[in-house]
Amino acid sequence: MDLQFSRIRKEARAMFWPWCAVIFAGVLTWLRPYGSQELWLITTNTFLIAIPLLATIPLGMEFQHGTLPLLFSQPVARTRILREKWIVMAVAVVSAAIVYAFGRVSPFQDRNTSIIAGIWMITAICSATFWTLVARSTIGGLILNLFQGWGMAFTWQLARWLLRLPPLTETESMGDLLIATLAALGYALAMLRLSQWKLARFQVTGAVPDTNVFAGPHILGSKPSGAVVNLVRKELHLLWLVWLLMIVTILGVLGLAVLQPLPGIPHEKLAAAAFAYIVTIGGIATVLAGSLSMGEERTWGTQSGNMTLPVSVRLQWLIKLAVVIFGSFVGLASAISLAKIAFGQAFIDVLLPYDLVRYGMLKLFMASSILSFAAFWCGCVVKGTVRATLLVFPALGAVWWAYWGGMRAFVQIWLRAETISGGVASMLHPFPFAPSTRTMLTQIQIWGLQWFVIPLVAVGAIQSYRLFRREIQDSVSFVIRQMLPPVIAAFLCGLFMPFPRVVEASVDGQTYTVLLEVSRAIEKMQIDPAKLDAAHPLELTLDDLSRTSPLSDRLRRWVDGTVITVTPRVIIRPSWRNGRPYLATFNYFTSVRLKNDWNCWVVTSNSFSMGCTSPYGTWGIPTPP
Amino acid sequence: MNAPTSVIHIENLTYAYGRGSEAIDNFNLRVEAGRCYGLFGRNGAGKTTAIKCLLNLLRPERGHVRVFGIDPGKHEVEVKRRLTYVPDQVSFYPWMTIRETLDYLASFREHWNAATEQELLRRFHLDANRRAAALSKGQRTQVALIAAICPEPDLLLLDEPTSGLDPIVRREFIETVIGAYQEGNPGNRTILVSTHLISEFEGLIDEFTIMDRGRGLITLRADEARDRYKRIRARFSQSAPELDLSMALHVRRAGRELDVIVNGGGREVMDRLLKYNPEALTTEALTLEEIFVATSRDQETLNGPAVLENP
Repeated sequence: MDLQFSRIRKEARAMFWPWCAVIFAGVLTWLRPYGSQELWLITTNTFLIAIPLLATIPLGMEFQHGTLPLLFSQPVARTRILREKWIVMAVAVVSAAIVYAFGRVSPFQDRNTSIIAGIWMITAICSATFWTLVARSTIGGLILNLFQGWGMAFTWQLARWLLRLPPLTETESMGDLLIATLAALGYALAMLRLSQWKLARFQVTGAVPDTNVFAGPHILGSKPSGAVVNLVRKELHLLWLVWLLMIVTILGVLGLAVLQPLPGIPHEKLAAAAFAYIVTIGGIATVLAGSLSMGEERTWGTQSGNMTLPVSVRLQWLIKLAVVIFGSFVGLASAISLAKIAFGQAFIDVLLPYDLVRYGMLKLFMASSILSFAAFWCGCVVKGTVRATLLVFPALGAVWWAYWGGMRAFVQIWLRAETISGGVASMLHPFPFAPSTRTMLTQIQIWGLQWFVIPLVAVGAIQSYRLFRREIQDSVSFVIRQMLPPVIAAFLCGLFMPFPRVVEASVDGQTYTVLLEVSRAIEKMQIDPAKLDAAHPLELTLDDLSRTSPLSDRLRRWVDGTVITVTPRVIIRPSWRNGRPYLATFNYFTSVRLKNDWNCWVVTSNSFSMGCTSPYGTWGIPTPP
Repeated sequence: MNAPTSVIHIENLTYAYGRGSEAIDNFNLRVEAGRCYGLFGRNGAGKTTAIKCLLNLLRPERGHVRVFGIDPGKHEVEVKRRLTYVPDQVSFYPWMTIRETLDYLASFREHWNAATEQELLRRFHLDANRRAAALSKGQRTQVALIAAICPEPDLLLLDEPTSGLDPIVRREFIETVIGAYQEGNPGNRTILVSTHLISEFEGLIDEFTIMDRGRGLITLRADEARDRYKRIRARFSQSAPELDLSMALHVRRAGRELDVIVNGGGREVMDRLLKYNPEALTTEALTLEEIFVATSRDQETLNGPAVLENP
């Protein structure tokens, strides 16, 4: 019993990190306060992929580590080995399904979708062993398992079409679902039996995972000359599975487009489904592009061999990265462009809320590059495609949280310590900003994400190059150590990115304080508006003001030597009192000429209004209304 | 006149895979051109780590490495252009055939001897159209050896090159291929072979270093080693006498027989034994493998010679 427990513990240990990644993705669905059609589709697709992934890992890991010959040479029946793997797999899958079931956007949102999700789970679990043995790898087994699911869905729809029933699942009756469930259960049992049969007769033809699905078809052969071209060919071949997924994505979009002429199917729903399909499958392909490129080289051991070739390591790294980034972009862009053509305005309407219409391709390029680069970075940090793929989302999550934490820390540090930001503002610019400076600061804010992305990508690129050429350690502490530089970079970006905004706000605050101080001092002089003459405004100096109010150093510095005038005019400005809007009335306004040639005005009583003009531009309300 | 530049020059090399676990510690090595140099050591002695530092696959923490007088850390392509490497674990892209694998590797080289390639494929009975994924471990090593020989490099780095090869191919490779490679440009083609299967390279090795726990224990020319390391066997009419042989590396008593291994001082040991009128007294040079075993065992028993008694 103890021995069995230790074997089960070993299975659980192998499943732990992938399970954590799947659970993490599931927990994220709890945080969303409201659901949308696309988000539901993406969450559902994630669930549909996560469950077969978990089901594939117990056996897939044996192929990945080349431990199958050792395992099968032990005096334990293969059926018993399979049973132990099954126990762990079932616990992992069921617990993950529970997490997804409680999400705000869940694949289990109603009776019909819950039954379909259940069918998916059962068939995925029962057939995972068979497909993994066929593919001889985790990712290969996963993809075959997914194809099986899509094949089942297609068969179901085809059967409904042949029986002249409506094609969409949401119209299905309980009777239809019962038939579907029974058919799926029968299929699952058959696959389970087939898995046992396959496992009993499985021949371990190689100790290394060299005959798996990643080897791919025999295309793009090498030539005896042209080293760079050969390197590119090799990289393109390494990603053959990505190309296959991209083709599947395009075929899926075409398949949905074909359904448009059928009656009773809203185009918007088809377009939304196409978008979710592209985001999910295309997204997976993009991540795989990065993780496969490095992961398989490290698994096969060819990476260290390439390092001994008489060609620059930097060139090899650049070629690999370029193929990954441009390859994944071309695949996604093709699917998006095709969907635009196929669905027209309906698809553009789906893109609108995500701000993907204007500069859509540029934004798509940015997004796919970041995702594939993140996966490539993960491939440099850990050994193997599966690990790299599973590391991508926690790594991106950690970086994003660090950035967010930096912003929070900024608020705590800079805004509370007003003297620091005020001091920095005074040092950088003693007077209100010219509009050009303000525009520049605003632009920094608008393009702020780039200021976050650029330093982070630079850190990641340097790190990935260093890791690309070295042998990495196979430990969690190593991964955590490698995570630190990008996390720190993200934190610092978050910490300093709002800085221009705060400096701008500090300068504005200083201008506001100075003008308000002038206005309050004049108020204390209790000037009678009736005695003021518009043709001859009342002229005052700082000394006049200082008789009624103590003046700040900044006011003295900014206004010293200039004349302050008070001009009668009834000014009515919309304002707020006790949380309600009202029209405030002012009987005069004060003009101040600052030492940097800014002509400012201010009115105040219970409310205030102010502004400045200068040869370089304006601030606030330029002139009194 | 300048002294000839060593093909390999390692000085005070230190490398650790983790904190406090130094794979190589202050290691020194100098290999002259045209030599076949052996790097011997037990598993985990640091042989592969040292070779990886030569290739800039690992960056030394301390010390310096020069190959052809060049720092591989700064000019690695220049260094790699003049050498080839056969690792202990050979890997190829599984989708490529042997033909494509060789073409792929040839594309990085300025020179490739196609005739040698054909000849070696024939000798090793390899089908060029076979996919790399279908090759056995030994066959993969054979392809790697072909890929290492055909560019006719100035330096051949072999890390456990014969592991996985069957005895016939192993003998063919060592006696014919390696010999032919060096004879192709005598005095200029250098081999550094790391192995613990020393007996196989016995006739080829000109000079060697024995490594243990990241350090170089001894460095000797093969001929000099055979002169210094001797086995002296004596048989007495009665039980072997108890006598002071503290200068010996190992002393083994088996009834009337005494087996002594010495590192120099063989004459002195024989003189002492002769005083006890042995029935027979013979001396013979140790093989490189026996020298390796004796030296490694001596390192383990740091407190003088190990005296093994047979019951």
